Amino acid sequence: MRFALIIFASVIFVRVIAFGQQDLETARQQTIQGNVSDESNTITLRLSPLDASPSAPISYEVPVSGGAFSKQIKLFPGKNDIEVLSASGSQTIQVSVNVKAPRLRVELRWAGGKQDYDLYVNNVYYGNTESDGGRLDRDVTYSDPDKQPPDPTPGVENITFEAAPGGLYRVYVNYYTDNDLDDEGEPKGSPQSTTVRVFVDEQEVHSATKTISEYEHLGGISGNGDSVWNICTLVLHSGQTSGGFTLDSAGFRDILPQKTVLSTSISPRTDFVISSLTGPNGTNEVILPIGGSAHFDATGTVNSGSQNEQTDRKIIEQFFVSDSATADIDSLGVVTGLDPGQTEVDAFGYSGNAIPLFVVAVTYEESYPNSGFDRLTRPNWLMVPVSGTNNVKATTNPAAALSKINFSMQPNASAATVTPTTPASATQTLTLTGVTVADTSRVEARPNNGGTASLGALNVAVKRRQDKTVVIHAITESNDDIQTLPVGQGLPNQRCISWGANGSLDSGNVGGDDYVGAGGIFNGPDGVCQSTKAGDDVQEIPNGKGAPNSAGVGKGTNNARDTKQPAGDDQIDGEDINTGPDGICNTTAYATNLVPTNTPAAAALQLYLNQVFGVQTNTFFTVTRSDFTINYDLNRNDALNMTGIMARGPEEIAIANTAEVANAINVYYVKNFLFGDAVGKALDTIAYVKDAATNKPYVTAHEIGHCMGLKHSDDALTPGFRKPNPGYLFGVDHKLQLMYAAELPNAPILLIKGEWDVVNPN
Amino acid sequence: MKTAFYASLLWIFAFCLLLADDGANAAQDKARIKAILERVRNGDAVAIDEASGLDATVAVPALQAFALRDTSDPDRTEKAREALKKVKGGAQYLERVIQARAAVKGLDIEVIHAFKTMSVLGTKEAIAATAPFLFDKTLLRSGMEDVADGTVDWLAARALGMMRLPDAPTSTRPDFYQEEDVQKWREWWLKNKARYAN
Repeated sequence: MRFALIIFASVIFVRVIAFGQQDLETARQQTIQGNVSDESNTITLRLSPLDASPSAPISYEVPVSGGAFSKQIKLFPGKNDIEVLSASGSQTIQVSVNVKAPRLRVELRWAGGKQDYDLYVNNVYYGNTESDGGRLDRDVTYSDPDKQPPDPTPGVENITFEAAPGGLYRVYVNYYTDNDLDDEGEPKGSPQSTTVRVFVDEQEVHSATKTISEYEHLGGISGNGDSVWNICTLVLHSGQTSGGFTLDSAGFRDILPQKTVLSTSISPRTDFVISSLTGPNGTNEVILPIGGSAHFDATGTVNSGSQNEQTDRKIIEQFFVSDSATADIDSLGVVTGLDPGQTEVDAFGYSGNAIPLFVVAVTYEESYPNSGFDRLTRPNWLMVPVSGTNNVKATTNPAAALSKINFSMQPNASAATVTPTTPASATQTLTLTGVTVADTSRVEARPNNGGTASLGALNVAVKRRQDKTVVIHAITESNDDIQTLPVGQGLPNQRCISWGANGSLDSGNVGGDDYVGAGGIFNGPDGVCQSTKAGDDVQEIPNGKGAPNSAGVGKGTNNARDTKQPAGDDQIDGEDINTGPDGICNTTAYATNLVPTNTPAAAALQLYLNQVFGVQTNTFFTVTRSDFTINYDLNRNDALNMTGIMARGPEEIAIANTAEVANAINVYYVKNFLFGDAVGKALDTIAYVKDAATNKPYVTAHEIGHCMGLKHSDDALTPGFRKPNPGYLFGVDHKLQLMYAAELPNAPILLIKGEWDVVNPN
Repeated sequence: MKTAFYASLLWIFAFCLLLADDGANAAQDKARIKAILERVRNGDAVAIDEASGLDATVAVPALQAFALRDTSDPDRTEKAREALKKVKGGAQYLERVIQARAAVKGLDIEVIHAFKTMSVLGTKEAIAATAPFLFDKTLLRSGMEDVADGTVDWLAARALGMMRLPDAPTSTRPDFYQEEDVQKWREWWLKNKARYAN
């Protein structure tokens, strides 16, 4: 088949606005704007951090209004892929959040005098004053009275990372010793109150004060760790390759020590007890979509039983999920759904109940093939007629989450209704009832605990019914030429021989069916002279020939010559064919009509079209049939010739003049057609279908699709066309589509959302 | 001096109020337009008339749906066509649609509808917007291997023909036009374009 028409090129323009050099928290908040050229009413915006956690992309459903969308999102440090998917296309842009590495400074301050406190930040301390970009400015000890410059009072130590790389910064203070000794070498002072302050770019982000009451006596710092004060862990997220940094949104956390990180000899206490584990719903179960995130907190006591015991502390780096294929949880307690399933969020050191976590995906599929369901777009679309219904199957995965979700219309609940709202089985048939025309509504599966996360959405196009008229015509080519003279014969009763000057017939031999008549010899019924003159007779028609220029083939009642060419020496005379010089008719009159024999019955085609377009686009047809016999084959090639998509050729005009019905789609079935099997023209809402194909109603449906403005679903087969095909984009077999360019044995009839809207705009 | 200072403060305050009011009005207007368009899509006859007062960029597509595409209700179709004629800047909007889409989309249904809508308008503005395309040879691909492509100029000629102008240079039925008919329209425009100048 060859067809005219259309394509849907989706052009999405995405931009990030207001991006400049700012502090990181401001820079992370970016508005993503774009335009969509197709009919999408939502787009999926997928954010994938390339240099930072989380590992799974984060997806947002963003409404499209007037072809434009806008969404403020929080980018991750470093590079981010931002992918925008519309109904028929996608575009990815890469954005980097590059803010200079912050200056991290940790200050330890105490009253000073004689006590020696030491500050540790990761591996930087008095014994290793420079490491990993950090530097200790001074080891204040008060142990050497001759030290130049003398140790300051009060005591101050700073560890500074001028350009702090991302990671965890663990901050400790150790009470090294009391150098204020009495004469017997015993300490005579008392522990000092110490204050630790943490600055990021000289902005104080944390401070803590404590008097460390236990210390190691002359034993170095390695002892049992009772003299070690664990201050905090500062988390700097970092784009490792592009150098973006941020503080975690929660700032920083106090944590238990991480001795494995430290290469120093410090051995802080590591004991802890987690007393509570909470998620966004307290201790209740959490339901997440794939890519969705939730934050969990673990709180407890560190350094239990020691004089450095700290209660009600947030503890990180102890989280885990029981099934890492279902969800991923990071050191801060941010869990991200990976795949549908059921798992639990737990923490090492926590004896209470783990928190159930469901990662749920609700997917939709057509209730039966070609039922107004577009699976080539994301989210899928369902066509629902106004005041009518359509069904769709919703599958909940895992099935264990069945009782934890419900279905609702979002955000426009007035356009359609959905029932049931609570699934009763893993694959639940939902019935959608259309109320008003809209394509801004969707069915959404949400947690039934009040959560608003979308666990699976189905866009809904509510369409009004529209009615169209199709008139089909079996167009018989009229060929009705008349064989005036039989082939091989001439015009009878013509005088072959006349007598000469002697006034009498000298020719005695009268041949064949010739006969003697008045004034000579005449040819008989075969119209061929078979006699030869004698004496002074005159041979008017040579022996073996007939009378020249006799009417051999007549034009018939259609007043046009149908016979292609005169044979022998016959000659064309207007619309007739006459005998040539030999006087014998050599031409066979063409009098056989070209009748299309497979034109469908109107009722059968109407039923078929309403199954195709009615169910999928709420467009219904009244089909009538009106047949004609027309002499359209003006160039006598036994086929209908078509000029092009714009101009109508003379043969098309011949048909239209007789058969065309105004304000209808006219489909002409002809015996032979020069341009493949069928053509549909949107400009004139006419289609031609070759007889051999007419027993395949889907061919007619395809051409009617063209008449209503549809283009081919895969224009890769149509040279010169440029069009991203949704089928290709999403890896779905486009050969399921009605508008596939070539005839297929499976007679596909699928129409997708973009096509619904061309056929039925409302 | 003090009085002047307070007066200027008052002006600034009033200006801020005005800005806030403008923002509120814009939001209300947007909601009103949306509501009208939704009613149009649902076939509301009153809304079809109201839509003629909206900006052409939203009014024309909404009204085209009933003027050209869903013509199953003749009364509604006629009403939509009448409303289209009243849309301010409708012809200019359609001109932009043709310019934007023809070269990119081939024989796109939107381009076809734009020209057909021009013929529905049939106004001086529509003629002036359509006629220059008589000289536009932008190729409109047929999508068929051995069927000739079209060009924009033919669509323009057909649209002008469908306007049934009293001085139309050809009496051929527009959908039966041949090249000589298109040429007649070109010549007609060269002679008459001064009449359609602004």
